[in-house]
Amino acid sequence: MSDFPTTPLIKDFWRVNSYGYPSIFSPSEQSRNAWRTFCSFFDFKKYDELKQFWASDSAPWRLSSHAVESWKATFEEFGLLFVESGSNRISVTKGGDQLRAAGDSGNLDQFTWIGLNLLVRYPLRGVRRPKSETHGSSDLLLYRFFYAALLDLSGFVWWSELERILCRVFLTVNGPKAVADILRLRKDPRLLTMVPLPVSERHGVFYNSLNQVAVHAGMNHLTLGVDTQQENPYGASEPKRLHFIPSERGNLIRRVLNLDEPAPCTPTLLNVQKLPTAPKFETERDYFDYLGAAVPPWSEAAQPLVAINLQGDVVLILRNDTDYQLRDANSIRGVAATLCQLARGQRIILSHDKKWTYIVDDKNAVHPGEIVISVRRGRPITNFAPVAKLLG
Amino acid sequence: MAEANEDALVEEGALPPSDFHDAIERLREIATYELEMPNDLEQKLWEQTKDLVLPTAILKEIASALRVGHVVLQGPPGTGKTSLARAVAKAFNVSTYPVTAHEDWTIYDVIGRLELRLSKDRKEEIVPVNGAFTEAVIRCGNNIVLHFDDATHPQAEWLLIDELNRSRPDKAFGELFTVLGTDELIATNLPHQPIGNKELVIPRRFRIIATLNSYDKQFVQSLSQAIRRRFTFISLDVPERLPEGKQWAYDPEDKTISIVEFTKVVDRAAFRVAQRQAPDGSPEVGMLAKAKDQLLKQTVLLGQLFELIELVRYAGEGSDLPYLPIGTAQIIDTLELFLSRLNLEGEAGSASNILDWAVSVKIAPLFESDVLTSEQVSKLINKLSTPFSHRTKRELQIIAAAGIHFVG
Repeated sequence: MSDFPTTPLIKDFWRVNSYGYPSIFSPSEQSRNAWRTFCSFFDFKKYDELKQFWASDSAPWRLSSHAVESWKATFEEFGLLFVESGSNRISVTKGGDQLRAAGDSGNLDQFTWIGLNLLVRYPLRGVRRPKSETHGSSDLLLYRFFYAALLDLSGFVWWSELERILCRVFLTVNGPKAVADILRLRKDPRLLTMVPLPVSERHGVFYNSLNQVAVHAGMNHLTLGVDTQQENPYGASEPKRLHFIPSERGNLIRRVLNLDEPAPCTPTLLNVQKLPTAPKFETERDYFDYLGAAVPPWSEAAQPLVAINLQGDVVLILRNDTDYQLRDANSIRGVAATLCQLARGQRIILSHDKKWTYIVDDKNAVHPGEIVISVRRGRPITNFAPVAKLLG
Repeated sequence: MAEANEDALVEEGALPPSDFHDAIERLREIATYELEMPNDLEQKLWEQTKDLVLPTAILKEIASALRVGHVVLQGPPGTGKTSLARAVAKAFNVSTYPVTAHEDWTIYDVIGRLELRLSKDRKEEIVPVNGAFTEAVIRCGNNIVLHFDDATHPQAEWLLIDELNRSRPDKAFGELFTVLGTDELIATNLPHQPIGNKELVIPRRFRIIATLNSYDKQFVQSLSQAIRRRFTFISLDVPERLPEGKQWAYDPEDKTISIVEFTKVVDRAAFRVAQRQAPDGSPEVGMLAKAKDQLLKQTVLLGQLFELIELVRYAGEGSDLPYLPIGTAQIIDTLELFLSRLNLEGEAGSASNILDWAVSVKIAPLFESDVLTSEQVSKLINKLSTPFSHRTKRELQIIAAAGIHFVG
């Protein structure tokens, strides 16, 4: 069994900010209070004045300067607002404005569409000092990966799977290994003993951080359900906690991840194989412009491809200047909603080259709506006529 | 954006298949791609052959020859012809399909044949079986396609024929000579394959590397001019003799070819002995160092062995000593046996007696050759001194007395 697990057993885990997601729609008072805190950022231009407000009697409840800092960091992570380092100016992002408007108008669908679209842009590395060396070198879009993995795992994840395997994925390239490991664990739960926790203590910081990942991912239980009644198949000593995608949210999540049905992939391709890596940023401002850019309306989200599912892999045939623009011999760029569907290792045909097929090497988000795909030349096209027919 | 199924595109002829066994005639689609020359070929050649005792020029000679076509490596036994062929293929990122030629080879072994077999439901059926050449060409095509998708995959497969001159090449290769001798993509017919799968075009990346023992000529078939024209012949000889005034020594820094051979023989024999002692076949550094130390304690004796070898390796024309170009591999075998027995005997063993014994059972039998006379062997016997004056001498006396020689 030396080939299990294939996920690197690093001694680190996902760490995110410790406050919950703001939601006016949540039955939880904490979540509604988080919404009121979020709204308070709209009332002040200067950050120190906001802090003074929360320390004053006119605040609905008292928040220390430290607590306001933590809320600010949490909202920054969600792509809603930011305060640039060394500045005293609160900047609400376009996405933050959209979320507020959706909340104020009571439009739950619009609220979840905007919130999730912002969340899936979040790079685990963060913007300022990384939370650990592993976080510093991470290229993972945390929540995009989390949901893609859930879709690959029949829509649910046991807490045991999250705390032993998923939370150790810091590099996009390791995502498929983690999903494969969990699928194998589900077939043979005894293998769990081969995957120790990344920490010595299950409780404390480790639990709190992973709990916040689940809370944030689900926008405080709006898009992610939890079941604490089912027996854990990994044994009585394992937590009775299961997170799942509620059936009514499946379409929304697929749409956000550009994985609408019918899936443009064959069963051999995992959703986690299609994920782009996090973009790299020159400045803090670039980072927040990316994270908080306006979310396109649901109706404008590009329609995904229709796949022909026969035996064998799907080859996508892309039209130059329509589906992609050529950057150089080894990369193309295009609309994220279209190119996001390309999986690493997948064969594609680019209409500008009638002699060669290409293999997708890597995907990098350069902007919320734009992706750069690195490609390398694959096997030759020996007869272009059948391809030309498909291009019409 | 449009979508298609990869298998359908292969079926329609837009993409080449990954396996040509049932689509032999489609090899033509990928036959025009020339051999890729790795940027760091020289470095790779050096890495792959660093355990062999070779003059440096030979690597460039064989690389140049393979760029343009098929190669025959000829030389005495044990000079590393087969190892060199494998190493060079690796440096080119090419896999090999190894076969050993034999006298009974026909086109059925080389091209293919029909065989009667029992199917799963115990019914007799006639199935086509590819010969070595056809199989290697098909695999070469598969590799060409897979290499396009993954550069780490071998870019081709080459047929490696050991002891080519043991076969009757004209009988075994038949009409293949036509397609081997031209740059044109001429199809050769495969009589054993069904219609639609019969025409075999040889990809330009395909090569044959054959080895040829240039010493035992009396036992082998001579090569016709037809086959000679289609191969570049590269000779590997035994390493040059130790320069005058130089002593036999283990010295990894010394580039003198005879010292390089001495050093590599010690390294290789020590490695083999240590390898056999390791439970998993991967000797630890300590085991390896111990085996090497044991050999190096006997440097003087080893020098005497090399002197004995030099006596016959370089016996030139007109010399009354037997000319026997003993290869490096035979010396390694001898020292491996010597060290293994030394380990068994422990303190009680006499190193010089054990070396005498190892030479008597590993080197002396090589003199039972069709090209040596008993007079020549007797002359050598007269030159033998300690440590080879007992077992080795006795063995050679038996060979000389038996007169096993067929001088033409």
